[in-house]
Amino acid sequence: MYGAYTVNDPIINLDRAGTIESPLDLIGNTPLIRLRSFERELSPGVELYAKAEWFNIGGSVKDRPALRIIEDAERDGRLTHDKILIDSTSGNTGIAYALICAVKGYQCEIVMPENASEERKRIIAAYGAKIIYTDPYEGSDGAIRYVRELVARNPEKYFYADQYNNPSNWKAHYDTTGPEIWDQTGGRVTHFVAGLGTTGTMTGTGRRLKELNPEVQLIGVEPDAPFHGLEGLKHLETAIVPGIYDASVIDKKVGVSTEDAYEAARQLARQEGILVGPSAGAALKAALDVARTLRHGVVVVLFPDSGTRYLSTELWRLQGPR
Amino acid sequence: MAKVEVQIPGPLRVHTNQQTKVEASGSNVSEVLANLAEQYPGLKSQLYEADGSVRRFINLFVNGEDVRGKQGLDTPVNDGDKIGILPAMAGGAELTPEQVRRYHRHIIMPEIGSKGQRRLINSKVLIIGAGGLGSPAALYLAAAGVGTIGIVDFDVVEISNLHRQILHGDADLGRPKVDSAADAIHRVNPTVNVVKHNEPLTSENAREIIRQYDVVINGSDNFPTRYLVNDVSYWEGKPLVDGSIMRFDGQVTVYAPGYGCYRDLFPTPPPPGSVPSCAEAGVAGRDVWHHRLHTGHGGHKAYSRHRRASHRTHADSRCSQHGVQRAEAAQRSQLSGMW
Repeated sequence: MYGAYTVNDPIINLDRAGTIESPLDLIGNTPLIRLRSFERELSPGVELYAKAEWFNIGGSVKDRPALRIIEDAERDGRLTHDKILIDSTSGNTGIAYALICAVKGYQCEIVMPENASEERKRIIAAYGAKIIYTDPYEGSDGAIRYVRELVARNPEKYFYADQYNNPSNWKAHYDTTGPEIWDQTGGRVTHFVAGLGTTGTMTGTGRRLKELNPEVQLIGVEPDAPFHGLEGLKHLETAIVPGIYDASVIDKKVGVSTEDAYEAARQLARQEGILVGPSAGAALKAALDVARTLRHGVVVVLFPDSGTRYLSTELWRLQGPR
Repeated sequence: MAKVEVQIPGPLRVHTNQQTKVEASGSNVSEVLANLAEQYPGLKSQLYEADGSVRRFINLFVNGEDVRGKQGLDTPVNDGDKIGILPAMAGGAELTPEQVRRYHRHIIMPEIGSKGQRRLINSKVLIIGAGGLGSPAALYLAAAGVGTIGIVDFDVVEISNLHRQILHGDADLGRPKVDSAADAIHRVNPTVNVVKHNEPLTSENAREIIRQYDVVINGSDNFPTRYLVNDVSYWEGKPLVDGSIMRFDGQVTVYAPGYGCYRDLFPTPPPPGSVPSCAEAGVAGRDVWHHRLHTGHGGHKAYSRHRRASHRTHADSRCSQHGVQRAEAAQRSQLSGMW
């Protein structure tokens, strides 16, 4: 049943040996890194791998859905050069939109809560996109509500990319992330662990992996409470639930505390030399909890971005007085 | 002891009775937080670690300035200062003050409450057909706060639609129905996320569209679509609310997952041409509305006819006899239970 599966999606340029024709060719096809130091505490039959999504040119997993959202909309005419691409995002998707719009020559407006990290704001501005800030006390849901109202008032002016409800989001993962993980593990993956934010990563990757092998277990990771410090993740019981969320895909949902996630990220840096963001820390914590219960298995955990994007936040602030 | 105002972020408002700002007292930030947790005990585990220290991912502001640049938790406060509490990252929110105002009459009913309203806001309903039945369904669901409404329709608005299809008006003639429906819904409630499926529902796309929703409402105007919607809803495990109407009669049935399906009542589609369409037989605009309020009216007659039909032919049905009985029970309770 584990037949060879080849990735042949036309939007991904698999040949990285030669020159690169466009920065957008550096989206997808990210490495899978074995986390050997963590495997030592697991049963000898268990392998643990991380999908290193900061290798995408925009620095996060969000390059994949952003590219697909934009190219699908170009294909069916929803996005044209007289329209402004707009969406709400706490950061990484905004960076991806801004980068892709810069390459393709579209106008881009990003709506984000004012307390998004300083690094993100500056990167988005550097690509030439406009940023609209919303009330930080209303959180990412406040930004979503703001965009909806703005677009409802001016529907002709905007292409509302709507990462939370746009099926192109999960399709990107269905066509790229899922097959990549399948290929990179030689079809041996038994568990896939990823954070739930827009839920596109899990919905798309999960659907593909389940089709390739219905036995694959899918573990979704969310903050353990509505009030948290895990950028990009959503507490689905209390937040606006994304339209693309499909609860039936996931086998198990795990809540992780902000503190545990930060600790896992710090341990990863010291132990493996891999610097990740807080949502990757949460995913790692959940993946380790799952892996510890196994005697055999190939666990793949997705790390959405690198820790360099959070240097100004508490994640990497050394212990000391506030 | 200074009296200060503390600004509460969305995710914490569940602990402060949805207040966005609350009063607290103390001589420095640390004391203000302690006083706050005393007044609103639910906040304690959110603000403090088990060892009693303030959780490190929380940023604290005095009059807009991060206390890290001041004296940290020891930063003194004065009367009237504004204290801000924010997670280092943006999180989700409970009901906003605007939502509390809008859905207040729902929220005060214990059967709904803020939890039920939150479920409505998080729910996704697919409406097949923005016509006579889809119109009132969409407007009421939007008003009630259903967060996402998907509409499948590839027609444009025609003048003969307007006597009953209240999503569309005179100014919409010639527009795609999904566009005019989205505008009408946003007039009622601009916070609703409307997903337009401006395409025919086919065996190619039905599964992908229907699986994105929690509930399916079938107001289609033809039998192939009606059977397709039933079959896909059945296999995807989605509750199906099926409505139909002709002239002065109407019928509505709820097919809950595991309790039978449309084919239990109507195993096979009628021969083409044997059942007239609205265009051929006519339909009372008032009845589409009436149908909502007093489903029993035409429904009972239709129900007993269909019941006989289903008993006669249920051996052909895809669902079990058990399923037939449950579908009938569900239908009965629906007929007597509404209004």
